[in-house]
Amino acid sequence: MMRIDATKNKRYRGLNLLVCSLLLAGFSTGVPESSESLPADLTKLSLEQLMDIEVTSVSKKPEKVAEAAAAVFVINQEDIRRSGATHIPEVLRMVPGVEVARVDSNKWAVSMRGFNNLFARKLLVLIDGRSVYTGLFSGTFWDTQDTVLEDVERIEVIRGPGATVWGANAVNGVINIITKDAGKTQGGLVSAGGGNVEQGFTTMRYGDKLGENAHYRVYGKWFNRDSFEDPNGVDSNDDWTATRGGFRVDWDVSENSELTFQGDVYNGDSNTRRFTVLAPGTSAVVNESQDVKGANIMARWSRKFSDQSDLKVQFYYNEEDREGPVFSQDIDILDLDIQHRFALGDRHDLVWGMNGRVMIDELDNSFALSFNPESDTNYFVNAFVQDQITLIPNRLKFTLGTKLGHNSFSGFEIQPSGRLLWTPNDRHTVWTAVSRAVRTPSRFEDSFTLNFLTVPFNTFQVTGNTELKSENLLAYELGYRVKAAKNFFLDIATFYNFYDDLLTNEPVATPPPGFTTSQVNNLMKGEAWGVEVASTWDVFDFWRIKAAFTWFELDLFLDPASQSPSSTLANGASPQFQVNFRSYLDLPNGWELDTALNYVDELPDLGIEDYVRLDLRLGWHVSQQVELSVTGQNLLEPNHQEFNAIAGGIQPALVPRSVYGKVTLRF
Amino acid sequence: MNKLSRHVTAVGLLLLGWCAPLAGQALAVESAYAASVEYEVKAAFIHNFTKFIDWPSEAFEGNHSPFRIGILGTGPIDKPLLNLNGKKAQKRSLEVSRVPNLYNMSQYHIIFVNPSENGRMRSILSALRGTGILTIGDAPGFAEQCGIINFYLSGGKVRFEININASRREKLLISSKLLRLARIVKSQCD
Repeated sequence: MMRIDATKNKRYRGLNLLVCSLLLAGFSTGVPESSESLPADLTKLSLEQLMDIEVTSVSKKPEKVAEAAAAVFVINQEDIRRSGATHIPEVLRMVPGVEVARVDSNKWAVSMRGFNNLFARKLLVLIDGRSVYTGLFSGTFWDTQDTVLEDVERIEVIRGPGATVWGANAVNGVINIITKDAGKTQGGLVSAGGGNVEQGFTTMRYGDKLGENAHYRVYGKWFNRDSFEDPNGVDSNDDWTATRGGFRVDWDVSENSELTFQGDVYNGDSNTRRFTVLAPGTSAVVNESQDVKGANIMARWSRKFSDQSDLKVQFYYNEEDREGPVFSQDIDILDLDIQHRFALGDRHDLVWGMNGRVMIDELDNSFALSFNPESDTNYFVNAFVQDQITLIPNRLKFTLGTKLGHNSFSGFEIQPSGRLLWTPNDRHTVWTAVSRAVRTPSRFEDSFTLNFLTVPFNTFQVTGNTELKSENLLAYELGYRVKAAKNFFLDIATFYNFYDDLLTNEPVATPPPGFTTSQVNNLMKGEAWGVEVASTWDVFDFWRIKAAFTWFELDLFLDPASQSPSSTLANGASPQFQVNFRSYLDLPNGWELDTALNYVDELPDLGIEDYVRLDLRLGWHVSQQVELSVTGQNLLEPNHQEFNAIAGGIQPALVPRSVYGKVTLRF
Repeated sequence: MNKLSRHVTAVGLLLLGWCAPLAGQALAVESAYAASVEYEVKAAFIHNFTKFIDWPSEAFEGNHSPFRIGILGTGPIDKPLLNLNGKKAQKRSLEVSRVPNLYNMSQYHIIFVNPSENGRMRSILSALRGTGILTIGDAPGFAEQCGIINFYLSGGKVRFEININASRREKLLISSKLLRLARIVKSQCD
C-alpha cells in the first residue's frame, strides 16, 4: 500500500514539473538580447583580457557549456571574486543541484543530487586533473583543498554520472577546479585581511616569464580561522590554520606541444570536538588537534597533431597525511593518465584513455576506529572509450561511451552511457542521456571497525565487509538550455535516478562478546528525481543577476532481508528545495555591491531547520592596482546550524554571522 | 516487469514534463541570433587602442575637442562601435559616426573599414594616405595593403596585426606594449 501511495504522489509531482517547465519556458521568451559569461562592459577590460576571450570554439574538444550533453554549471573567476568566499566549498553554494553545508569551522558536507554527508562518497573532485578526494573512502577532506582563489580560472560542476570520461565514483557528479595557465598570472598579487571568524589571512603570488616560451608563478598563502560555538554556547574547538605554497610552469615546447609542471605543499592544524569511545564502557567528548600536511607534484604533456587529433599524458604524485588521536592516515598516490582524441571520417570524434593508480596507505588504529590491515597497497586500472557521432552536422550529435575498470575491492566494472545532443539553432540546446555508474567499495569499507557508542558491558560497533559489491546507478537525464535573449540565459536539467546495492549497516548474528556489531552490506535500493534551474540575466550593463533553483526528492527502500531502518536516514539528509539568488552591481567610481541570498530547506532526518543566508560584499577598485572589500556573511541571524555529522561523532557547531575586510594589490 | 514499468514511468515523466514547452519554444524562436561577442570584443579593442597610440596634438582642434571614430561600410561591428559614443578616450569623449563619403574624412582620428568595402579597399586606403588617420580593418590583406591595424582570429580569439611602416607614414606613435601584443607586418608603404 505504501508503495502505491508513493507512486501516485510522484505522478502529481510530475504534473507540477510540467506546469513549472511551462511557466519557465513562457517566462524565457521575449526578453531582449547579450552574452552570458562575459562582463557586461567589455571596454573596461585590458588588452590582455580582451585577447583571452574566446569568441568561437577552437575545435570540438573543449566543449562550450551550451554544447555539453550533461548538466554543467561553470563558476568563473568573477563569480568567485564577487562571492566573497574564502574557501572552495563556500563558492559551490551557487550551483543548482549541489548541497553545501558547513559542519563546523573546518568541515564541509558537499554533495550533489542527494546522499550528503561529512564525506559524501558519490562525488569526484579534481584540481587541475588531480583527484583530491581521499583514496581511503572516496570522500573529500575540504579543509586541505585550497589554492589561490584569484588564480582559479573556473570551476566546472557536472551533475549526474559523468562516469564515462571521469572515472569511478563520479556517480552523482564531478567538481573540476581549473587554475589559470601561468601565462595568465603574470606579475604580483598580494592580498591580506581579517575579521571575526577570518582572524587573519594573506596570499602572495608572483608570475614572470621563464625564457622565450615559458611562464611560471609561485605562491604562498596563510590563514587562521576562529572556532564556532555549539547550540549551548560552548566553544566547538574547531579553529584551524594552514600554510601553503606552490608553483606552476607552463612551457610551449613547440607550436603544437605544451608541458605543465605544478605542485603544492601545505601544513596545518584542523581541530575537532568529537564524541569518541575511548575504551569499552568509557566514552567522552574530546577536543582533538589534528595535524594535516601534504604535497603533490604533477607533470602534464599535451601534443596537438591536428585540429581533430591530440594526445595528453599526465602523471602526478599526491601525499595526504593527517594525524589525530582517533584517526591518522599517511596516503601516497601515484597516478598516470593518458588520453587520445582523433577523428574518424567526418562524423566520428573518438576519445580513449587509460588510467593507472597505486595507493599506498599507512593508517594508525585507535580503539574507536581501526583497520585490518593497518597498512595496504591497492591498484586501480581504468580504460574508457567514447565516440561522438555527428548525425546531422551542427544539429544532432550522439555520444556513446563506456568505461571499463578494475580495482582491488570489487573487481571489474563496466559503466556505459549514451547521450544525445540536439541544437536546433544557436540559441537552443536539448540533451538527454542514459547512463550507468558505479561507486566502488573503498579501502575504508573493506577493512574498518568503528566503535561508536559504549555503555557498561556493551560497545556498539560497525565493521567493514570484504564482500561488498559496488553501489550502482542507472540515470535518465533530460535538459534544455536557451539563450532566450541577448541578456538572458536559462538552463534546466531534470533527472530520474535508480540506485541499487546501496550501503546499509546490518546486525551481525554472533558478535564478539561485549559488543553489538553491525556490518556494512548492500541491501538498499533508491529512487531520486529532481529539477535544477540556473539563469543569468544582465538587467543593465552594470547589473547582473544570477539565480538557481533546486528541487530534489529521494526515496530509499530497504531490501526485505535488511534489518537496518537507520540506513534510510539519507532520505531526509538532503534539502527538498534550494534557492540561490545573486546580484552583481557595478556602481560608479569602481565600487561594486554584491549580494547573495540562499534558501536551504530543512533536513528533517538530521534535525536541521531550514535557513536563509544573506551575504553582502562591498568592493572598491581604488585603482588598477588596489582593490578593497568588506564582506559580511550570514547577516540575517546571529548563527544557524547547517548539518549534523552524527556518524563521525563530530559535535554540532553553529555557523556564525561574520564580517571581514580585505586588501588586494596587483603589480 | 514491475521494475521495467517503473523505469518506463520515470522516462515518461521526464518527457511529459518537457515536450510540451519545448515544442512551443522550438517553433517560436527563429535562429536570427548571431554570435555578436566577436564584434563586441573588437569594438572594445578599438576603444583600448586609443590609450596606446599617440596622435600629434594638431590632430585635435583643442584640448577638449572630441575623439572621432568613423565607420566605413556596414557590418556587425557597427552597433557595438556606435555604443562607444560618449565614452572617454584619453580624457576626450568619443564620437562615433558613419562616414558619409570618402571626400570628407579629415575630421576623424580612426576610420574602421568594414569588410563590406573589400572591393574598393585599394582606393579607400589611397584616399586615406597621409591624412594622419588610424585605419583599422577586418579583412585578410588589409595590413599588407598599408592599412595600419587589422583584426584576425586565431585559436578562436581575436588578434590584431600592425603595419609599422604604415603607422610611421601617418606619424602615429604606437606604444611598445601594443606592438608586443600584435603580429607585425612590414610591407613597404610610402
